[in-house]
Amino acid sequence: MGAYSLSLSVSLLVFAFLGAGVWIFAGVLLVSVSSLLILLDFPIDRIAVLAKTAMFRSSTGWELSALPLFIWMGEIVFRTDVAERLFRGLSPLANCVPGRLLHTNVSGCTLFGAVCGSSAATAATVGKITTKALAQRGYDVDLTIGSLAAAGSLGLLIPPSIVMIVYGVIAEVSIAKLFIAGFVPGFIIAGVFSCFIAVRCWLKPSLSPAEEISLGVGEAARAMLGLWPVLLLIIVVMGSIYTGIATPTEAAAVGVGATFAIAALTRQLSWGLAQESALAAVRSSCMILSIMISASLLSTTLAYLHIPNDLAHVVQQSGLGPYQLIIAIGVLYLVLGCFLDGVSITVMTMPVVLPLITAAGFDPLWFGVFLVIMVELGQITPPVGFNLFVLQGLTGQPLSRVAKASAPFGILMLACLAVLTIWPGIVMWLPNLLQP
Amino acid sequence: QTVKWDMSMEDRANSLPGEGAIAFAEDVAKATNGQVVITVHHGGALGFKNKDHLNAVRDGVLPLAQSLAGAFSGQEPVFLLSSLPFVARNLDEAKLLYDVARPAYEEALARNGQKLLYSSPFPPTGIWAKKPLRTVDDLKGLKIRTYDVNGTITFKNLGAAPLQVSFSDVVPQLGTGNLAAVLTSADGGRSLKLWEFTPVFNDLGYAFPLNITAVNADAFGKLSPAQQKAVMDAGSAAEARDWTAVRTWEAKNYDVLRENKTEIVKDAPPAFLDALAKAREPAIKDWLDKTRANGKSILDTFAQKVGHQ
Amino acid sequence: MKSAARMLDRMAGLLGTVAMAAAAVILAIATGHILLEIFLRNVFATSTYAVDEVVGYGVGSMTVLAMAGTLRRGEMIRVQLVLARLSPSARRVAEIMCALVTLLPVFLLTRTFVLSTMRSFREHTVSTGLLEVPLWIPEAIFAFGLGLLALQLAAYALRLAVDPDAPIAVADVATE
Ligand code: NA
Ligand code: NA
Repeated sequence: MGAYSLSLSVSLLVFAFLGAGVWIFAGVLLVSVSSLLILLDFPIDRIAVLAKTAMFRSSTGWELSALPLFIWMGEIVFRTDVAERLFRGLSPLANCVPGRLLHTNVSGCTLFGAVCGSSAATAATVGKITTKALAQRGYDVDLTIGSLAAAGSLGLLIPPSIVMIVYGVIAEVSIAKLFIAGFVPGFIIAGVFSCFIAVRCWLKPSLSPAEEISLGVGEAARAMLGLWPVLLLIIVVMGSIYTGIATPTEAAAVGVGATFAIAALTRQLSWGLAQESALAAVRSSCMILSIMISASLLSTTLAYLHIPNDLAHVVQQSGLGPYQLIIAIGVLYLVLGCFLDGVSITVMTMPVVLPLITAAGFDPLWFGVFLVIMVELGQITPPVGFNLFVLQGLTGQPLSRVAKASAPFGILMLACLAVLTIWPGIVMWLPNLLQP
Repeated sequence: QTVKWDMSMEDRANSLPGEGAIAFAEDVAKATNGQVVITVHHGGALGFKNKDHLNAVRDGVLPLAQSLAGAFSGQEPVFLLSSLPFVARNLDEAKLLYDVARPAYEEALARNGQKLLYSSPFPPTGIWAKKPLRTVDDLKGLKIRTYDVNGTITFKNLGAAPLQVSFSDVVPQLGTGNLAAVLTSADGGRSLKLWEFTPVFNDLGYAFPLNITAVNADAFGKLSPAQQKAVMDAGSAAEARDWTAVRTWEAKNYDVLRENKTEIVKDAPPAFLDALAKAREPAIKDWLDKTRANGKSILDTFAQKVGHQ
Repeated sequence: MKSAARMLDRMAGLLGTVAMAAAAVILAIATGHILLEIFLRNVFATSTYAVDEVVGYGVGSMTVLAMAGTLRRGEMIRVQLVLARLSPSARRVAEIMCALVTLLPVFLLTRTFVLSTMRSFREHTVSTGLLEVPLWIPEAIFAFGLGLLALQLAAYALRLAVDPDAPIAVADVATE
C-alpha cells in the first residue's frame, strides 16, 4: 500500500475507534494494535512486546515529570484562596480592557510558558486556576476554552522548550539562539490572541460580563495587594530557573514546594488539602499521561508504516519553488500534527525535510520556529490534540465543542505563521541582535 | 521475495554512525539485488532507546538495531567495557580492545538471540570547559555533566562535582552557569554548539564509546545463504569504513571547532593523566566484579598487547 | 450472578482506591526527591545520582496505578458524539462493548508485563544508572496497575450485563 492509502486506513481506524466512544487512551491503543495487525501483518506476540516496550519507555522518561508536578501545583492553588485573590486583585485592572479577565488565560499561559516546556502542562495548570473562576463570573465558555487550548501551546515556543532542543540537536542549530528566537513570535501570537479576545468582547459585551460590585479606590488597592501569593510563586519558580538553582525540569517541584509554603503562610495548609490535591493531580495526570503513552505507540506504529517518511518524500519529489515548498511542508506538518506529538514529528521528518529547507535557502534557525508553531497547531487539531484533551478534562465539554472553540485561535496562529514566513526578519531580529 | 527490515538507532542521520548505517543499508540492498531492504530510523524515530534495543531485537520486535554498547550494561555488563575510562588511550588501542573483546560481545549477544554485524566507533570523549584543564586542581569543584556511572565515580574521586543533568537540561543549565563543564566528544559538543558556553575542548582521550549493530538470529536465519553472506560482508565493510571515517570525522570536527574559535587542548601532562587513570580504578574494579574471569582475561590480553593497564 | 458481579465491582473499586493512594504517595516522593536533589546540589555541590531514575519510574508507576481508579470515576475522557445520543438500553450495550474492546489490548499488555517481570527477575536485569534498580520492580508495578485496569473493565462490563441497577461509571458531559 502507498503512503496515501495507508494514511487513509489509519485515519479511518482512528475515527472508528474514537467515534465509537471508547476511552481515548484505549482508542489510540486499539488503532495502533489493529494497524500493526491488519496493515503490517505483525504477529500478536510481537505487537504485545512492541506495545510494552514503547509504553514503558515513554512513561518513564524524566522529562514527563514536570506534567504531574505542575498539575499538582495547580490543584493546590485551586484549593486555596490564591486563585480567588488573583482574580479579585486583577479585576480592577482588567475592567479597563475589553475582554477583561479572559486575558488571564493568554497572559497566564505566556508567563507559565517561560517556566514550563510542555504545552499540556501549561494548559492544564493555568486552566485549573482560571476555568472555574471565569465560568463563575459568567465569562464565555468557548472563548475561555479556545484561548486556553491555543495559548497553552505557547509553552513550546517560549523557552524552555523540549521540541526546540530536539530540533536544535538534529539540525545543528544553536539551542540558545532558538530559545531567543522563540520570544518575539511567542509574544506576537499571544498579542494577536489578546486582540482577538478584546475585539470579540467589544463587539459582544455579554461574552465578558462586568464585575457586579464596583470597588472604590481603597478597596481596589487592597484587592490588588492580595496578588502577593501569585507574584511570590512566579518569582520563586522563575527565579529558580533563571538563577540556575533548578533545571527547567525540576522547577515544577519548586512550584509544588512554594505553593505549599504559601498555603502554610496564609494558614490554609492542612492534611486534607495535601491529600485531596495530590489525588486530584494523580487523576488528571493519569488521564493525560495515559493518552500520551498510547500516543507513543501510535507514533511507533506510524514509523513502522513509514508514513511520515513517505509523505515527506512526496514533498521532496514534487520539485517545488521555495514558497510552494514551505506551504507543502506546512500542510505535511498540519496532517502529521493531527496524529503525532512534536518530538515524533521532528525526529521522523527531519532527515528528509532539513536538506530540502537548506537547499531552498531557508535559514534553519527560522525553520525551527516555523516547525514549533506547526507543532503547536498540532496540539489543538483533532483527533489527537493534547490541549483539546486537557480542556475536555478540565471543563467536561465535549471534544467537538473544545475543538470548535479552539479553531479560530488556530487560524490566527496560521495567519501569524504566514506573516513570519513573508517577513522572516521578525524571527531573526532578536537572535541576531543578541548573538551576532 | 524481498525482506524488509526496520533498523532502529538513536543517533542522528548526520552523525558518523548515522551516515555509516545508511551506507550499510545501501550496500546490503546492492549486494542482494534489492532483496533485503533495510530502512534506517534515525534519532530514535521508532520510539526505542539504546537501552531498549537488546530486548527488542531479542524478542523480534526489531529485526536489527544499532545501539550504544554501554546501554546494554544492565543486562550484559561486559558491554560497559567500551565506555570504561582510560582503558584505550587512542583510536588504534580502541580498535584493539574491541577485537580482543569481540568474542565476549558475540557470546553475550548470542545469549540474547542475536548476531553481531559490526561495530562503529565514536570520536574520543573529552571535557568541554571554560578553561584548559592541566592539573587535578583544575577539576576541584568543577560542575561537570557526566553521561554514565563510570564518569560519575571517576570525577567524584577527583574532587569534581559530577552532576546528573538530563540531556534536555544541559544547554539551559550551561546558560545559567549551573554547569561549568560537559563530558562528551568533540562531535557531541558540535551538535550542541557547546562553544557558546564552554569554549575549550580538552581532548583527553577519556573513553572511546562504541556502537554495536546486531541482528535477530531468527530473522537472519530466514535469509538465504547468499543473502546472509551479503549482510555479513556489508557489516565487515561498514566496520572498516566507520573505523577509518572516525579519523577524518574527528579532523572535520576540529575544523568546525576552530571556525567557532574553540580552543582545542591536546597533550595533557602525564601527571594529570595518571591521576585520572587512578581515579577510574573503582569503576574498573566494579566492572571486574560484575564480569569476573571473562572481564579479567579481556583486560589482561589487552594489557599484554598494548603494554599498559 | 448479580451479587457476584456487584462483589467483583466492589473489589475492583477498593483495589483501585488503594492503588490510587499509592500513586499519590509516589507523586509526593518524586517531588521530595527532586527538592532534595536541588538542595544537595546547591548547598553541598553533590547529588543523589538517582533522581532521573527514581522520578522516571515513579511517574510511570503513578500513571498505571491510577488508571483503574481514574476510569472508574469517569475521568478518562472519551468522545461522546454517538454515546450521548443512544437510548439507555443501547447505551448499556455500547458501554459493555467499549469495556470489552478495551479489555483486549489491556489484557495483552498485562500479560506481556508479567512475562517481562519474570524474565527481568530471573536474569537479574538492572537499570543502567548508579542506583542499579532491579527492573522487575517497576515492571511488576506496571503489570499490577494494568491488571487492575483489566479487572475494573471486566467488572464494569459484567455488572452492566447482569445488574439492571448498575450505574454507568462515566461522568456524562453535555450532549455533543
Ligand atoms: Na516553554
Ligand atoms: Na493534533
